[in-house]
Amino acid sequence: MKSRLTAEAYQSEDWFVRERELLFKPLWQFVGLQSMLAQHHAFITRSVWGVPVVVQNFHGELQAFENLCLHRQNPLQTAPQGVRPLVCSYHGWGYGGDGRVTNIPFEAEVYRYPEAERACLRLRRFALEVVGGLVFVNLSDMPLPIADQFSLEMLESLRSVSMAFDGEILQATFHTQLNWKLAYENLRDSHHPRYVHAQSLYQKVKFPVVLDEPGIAASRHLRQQGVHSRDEALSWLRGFSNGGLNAPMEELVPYPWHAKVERYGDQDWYYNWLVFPNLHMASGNGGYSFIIEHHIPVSAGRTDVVVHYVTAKKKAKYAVSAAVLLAHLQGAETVLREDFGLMERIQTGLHAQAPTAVLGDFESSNQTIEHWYLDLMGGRFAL
Amino acid sequence: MPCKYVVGLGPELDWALAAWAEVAPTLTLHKLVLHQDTSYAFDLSVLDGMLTDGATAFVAMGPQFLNFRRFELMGIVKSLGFKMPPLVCPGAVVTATAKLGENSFIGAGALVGVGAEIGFNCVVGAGAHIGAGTKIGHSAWLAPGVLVGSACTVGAHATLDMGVLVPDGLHVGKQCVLQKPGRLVADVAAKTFHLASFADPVVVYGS
Repeated sequence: MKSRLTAEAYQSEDWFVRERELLFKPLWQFVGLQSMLAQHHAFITRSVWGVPVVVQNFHGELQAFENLCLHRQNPLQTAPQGVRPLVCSYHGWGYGGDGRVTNIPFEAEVYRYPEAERACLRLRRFALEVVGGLVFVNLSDMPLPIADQFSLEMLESLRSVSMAFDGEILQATFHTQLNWKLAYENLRDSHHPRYVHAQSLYQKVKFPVVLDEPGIAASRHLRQQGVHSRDEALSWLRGFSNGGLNAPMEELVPYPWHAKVERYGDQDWYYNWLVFPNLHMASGNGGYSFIIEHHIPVSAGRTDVVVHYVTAKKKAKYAVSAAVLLAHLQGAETVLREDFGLMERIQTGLHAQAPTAVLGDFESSNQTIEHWYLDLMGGRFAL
Repeated sequence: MPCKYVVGLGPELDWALAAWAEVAPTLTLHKLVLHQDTSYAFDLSVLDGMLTDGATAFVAMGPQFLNFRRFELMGIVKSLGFKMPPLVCPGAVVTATAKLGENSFIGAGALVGVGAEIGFNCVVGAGAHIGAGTKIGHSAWLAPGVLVGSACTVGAHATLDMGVLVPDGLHVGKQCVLQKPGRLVADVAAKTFHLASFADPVVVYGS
């Protein structure tokens, strides 16, 4: 079936800005792992579609704020992660858990703000939800309930798996030259591993290519009829995220460190969680360790992919745990770069007159998302 | 006739054998090649015939798994009762007040400065320079030509690849991997990886 997504959807900065307003701003965005925020003053910073966000622990309570000092717009926290009070390094302004300014050094002597102006000084605060060990924020002034975005089954699956994550985390960033949609489309294409990953991942897992006949029929119906209401749109949206057991492993190599962690589940299967729009989690070894892959759109043609590697929870600390995480990155880097290289070549080849994709029935989930997405971008509904 | 078992794998094993043959020509050297399975576990059956009767041993292999594999192997051989004196290759200069730990390798042309301390199981590659008073933690790997200034510390299990320069007084944490050539401008926290294929440091948080 001929796709209606033209090159403009992948290349245009104007389109990208509309995506931010219509799709990303209303939706809950993954920002990090709760275990990185375990202690008082622990923080993480992220750019969420160009909006600098800091998530910080205030005496055990997590809060999300715009990461800009109210005085001169200097970022309050500058590191990607750390433990530090929410204090601006420019003139020493300090902030509390409610976002109010708690301290302005030499306030009376040099600032002399009128009382009414001073009373209004408060950081822009964003809604925050913690699902198991996953932290989400929402940039909207009126955020939709997170259960409107993800099904209860999906929320429970995310909660269950993320509670199995260990607190030691490896974080790496890939700066890619591709539109973020190519990433989610690629992840929902189970037919590509036998070609793109023929010498790597496909040797370990033969991903089944399933023709979901009800899904194919539903996708065709959606293309013909379109989305008629917000409730219907949210119902479709909840179907875009799913996860759990994906495919059996050809062979599970037993590493000595496996005995040192509390395995998630007991199946020698590849686990996969596709969290629309821009989060992917997987376990390539039957629940002993996990990749959390977060696609952060930077511009129409650039996406930062932040990956976290964690094992399942340790039974006790062991000396080589960091080496295990690094080995994971080095092992998976081949597969990730195979995907990124392919998608970057697609991105490079796009131009205004480029032919659009011709999707097969096995790509019905991508077709469904496309129809829904184009209705959203075309103004048939708003989130 | 005193003998030495040189145990390990890869090119490092051959380098160590050649160096021992040169610095101790009267020693009878026994080369024991280890193999690893798909989970990187050693096949230790090759060690079965080792006799401790006056013999010494040396373990040589690369920085695999943050140098923990070499550490593991040294521990196995040490537990068999062998002394494992360090190997100082011809042309290396180790100052009189420097200290070398067991099973350390100091490559040809390397310089270990006054009062420097090289922990056990370290590899200091050919031509590397270790400044005065600098301490290198055990099982670290410094590639040929690495320059570490005075009064520095390099943590245990760290790996510094070719072209890395650590200025005077800087500290590189435990289990760091520095693959990018160039002069460090700040301390590097433990478990930080400056990998050649990544623009940003790869970091391990938490424990």
